[in-house]
Amino acid sequence: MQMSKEISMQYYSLRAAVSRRPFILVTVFLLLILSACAPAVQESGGSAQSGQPVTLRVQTSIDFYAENAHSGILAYRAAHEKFLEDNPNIRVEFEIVPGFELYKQFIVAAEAGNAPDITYQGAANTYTLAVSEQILPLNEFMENHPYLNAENLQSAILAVETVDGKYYGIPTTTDARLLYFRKDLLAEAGLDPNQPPATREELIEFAQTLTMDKDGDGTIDQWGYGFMADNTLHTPHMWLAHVWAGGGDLVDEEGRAIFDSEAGIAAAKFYYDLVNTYEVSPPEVIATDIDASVRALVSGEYAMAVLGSWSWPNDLVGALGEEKIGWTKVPPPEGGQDATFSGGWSWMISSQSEHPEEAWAYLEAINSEEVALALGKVDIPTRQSILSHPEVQGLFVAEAGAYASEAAHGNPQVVTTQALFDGIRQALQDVIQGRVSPEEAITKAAADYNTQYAGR
Amino acid sequence: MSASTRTEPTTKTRRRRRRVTYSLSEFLWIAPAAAFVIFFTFFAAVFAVRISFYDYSLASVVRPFVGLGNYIQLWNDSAYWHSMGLSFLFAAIDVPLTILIGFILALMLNQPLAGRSVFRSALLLPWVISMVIAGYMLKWIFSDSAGILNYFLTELGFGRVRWLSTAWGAFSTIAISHAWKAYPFGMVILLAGLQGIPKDLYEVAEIDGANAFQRLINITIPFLVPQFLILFILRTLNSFNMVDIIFAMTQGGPGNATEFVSFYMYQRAFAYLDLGYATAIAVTILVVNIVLALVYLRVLRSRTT
Repeated sequence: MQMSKEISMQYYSLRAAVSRRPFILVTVFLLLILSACAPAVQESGGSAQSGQPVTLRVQTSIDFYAENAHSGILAYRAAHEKFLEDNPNIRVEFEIVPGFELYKQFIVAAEAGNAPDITYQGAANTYTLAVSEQILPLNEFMENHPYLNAENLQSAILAVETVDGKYYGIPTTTDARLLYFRKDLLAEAGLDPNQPPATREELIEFAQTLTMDKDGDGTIDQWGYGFMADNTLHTPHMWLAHVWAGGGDLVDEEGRAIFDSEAGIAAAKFYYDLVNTYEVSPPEVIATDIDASVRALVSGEYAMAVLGSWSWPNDLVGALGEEKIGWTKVPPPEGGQDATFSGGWSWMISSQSEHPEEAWAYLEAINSEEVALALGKVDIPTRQSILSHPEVQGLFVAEAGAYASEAAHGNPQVVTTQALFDGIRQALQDVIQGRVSPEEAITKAAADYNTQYAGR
Repeated sequence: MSASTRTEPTTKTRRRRRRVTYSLSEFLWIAPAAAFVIFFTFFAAVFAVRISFYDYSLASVVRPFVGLGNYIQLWNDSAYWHSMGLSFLFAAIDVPLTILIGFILALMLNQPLAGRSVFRSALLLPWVISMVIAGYMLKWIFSDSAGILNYFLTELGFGRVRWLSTAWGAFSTIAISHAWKAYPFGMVILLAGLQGIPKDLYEVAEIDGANAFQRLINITIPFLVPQFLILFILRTLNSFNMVDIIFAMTQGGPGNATEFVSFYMYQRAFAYLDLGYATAIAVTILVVNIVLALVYLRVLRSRTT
């Protein structure tokens, strides 16, 4: 026993001594590898004027070099390449991120002190980014600029990009929610396709006529009206058009929810009635996303639907042709007013950028009038100079743009937009399912928001 | 003194000296991995608990200390209690369902079937697909209007089922989808357990006249108790922490019918940017997980001793 104890002690001592040597060698080797992998020292403090190398990090959902790019993307690409040619000391690195991830990724990167120089964000996020000082005001660059100035921007989008008198983004295009209708299906049902519904009441009458079981199997296969009620932001955006049309509003000047007005409850009841009272919309709307809604309109499952203006050129006209598809304003209730929701996307400069001058120079280049014109033929332009351009006049984007100019409302200026819209979305889905009355759902949603988030 | 009375102190001494002679180098070997785990797990958890005492919003430059403010808000938040209740209900359904499916398949795969290895590989497929991809795929399958499942149900004369546009439908769909994704893990664990049961016991039982059901109840299940309990712990923790499949399929809807507590926490953190409140929710989830794990471990210990 004594002998075995000594041998054991010697064994473990030897084992310890032997195992230390390779450990030290491996550790040294790993450290050498790590030092070789360290990034090269970035040139910083350079400027376009001094000619020192500068790298701009641009975070966007637009891939300038995408295959089958439309004319707007091609214009971006050309402007980008010209900028690089004119500024050989500036390098541009793209971080392509899906649109719905842009905001989260920018916020997290900014929190880590690693924000990109330039970011492309939805208009809904401007207020939050501005008040949290994540983006730079652009007044010094935009004042007296020949075309990137406040006077040249469409009013609804400008209101969203302005916080306390400071401008924070260069908007590219905007959009509007429109009522689309199948001209051929209206004609088939004996309705005049040149006289689409102009009021909410007419919309219901049209929808009732258009809802039918075409093949006689007992199930409806053509719904008169489709609308967004799924789990995305499209749901509150589209619903708000009905609230504003009825004279209601979303939040007051202090950021408190006021959509539980008479107009808001009426708009919620309208949704309930479409599915449950008039039965002109399928109950599955609450699980039908925007792509499925567009497909439903193209296939004829929907005869009419409120969708975004971005669907017009490629998804709708591209699939059906203008002889089969038409658009009109979102019908307000009798005695109401024209209203629609407008969003959009903007280029912004991060407050963490070490090269704001160069970042502005780049944004100025890729937001030239040529680029804006190319983009403005694809979706609604945000500049008066483009809206009134001869090449845009008479196009869909000009007409929809004129409607948006008069009737559009944008995102509210609160930091808790997501919470606001989530509450509305949940309330509407409960209403449509018949789980709770419209008044109860909308009132509770507004009260919950005001309790937890209002004024933050 | 006899060898047996001298063994205990000698073993203790040897153990003590063993610790002194080789623990340093072995500690150095595991130090890098330990540092990684400590930093990204322990430190992250401590930091999360810390910011749960602050009004910590990514949308604000001012982040004041609020003490128990977030927890008090949680206590009064009906949406939080709804989501916690949903998570418990889901775990109560999902955990036994997943283990039962895994057990049945493990029993089948333990039989000498022709092509058993092919079946085994095929049955493991759901496990290797990422949860998010599985979620999007299942969302298409269960789609109310365009899903292939409703297509077949309609062709068979059953009519469309509103899988994702009703509260009960969405909840059931999530349960079915998660069970489909998670059963292979239980199947593998239980199959390994089954293959460790001595065959002699079954032969003896058969000789004694026990039928298949009696052999299952009196031999198979008792031998698999440790595996079942491990699975209960792991599946419960997984059910509570599940976000990906909800994100892909329902986003917590319709209404808040599938807004489980983990997804509720995710929304507060990354959609509302309210990290302070979200980490307070995370702390409560952690407490629930620890309590449940301790309960299961206590049962496991009493069963295995």
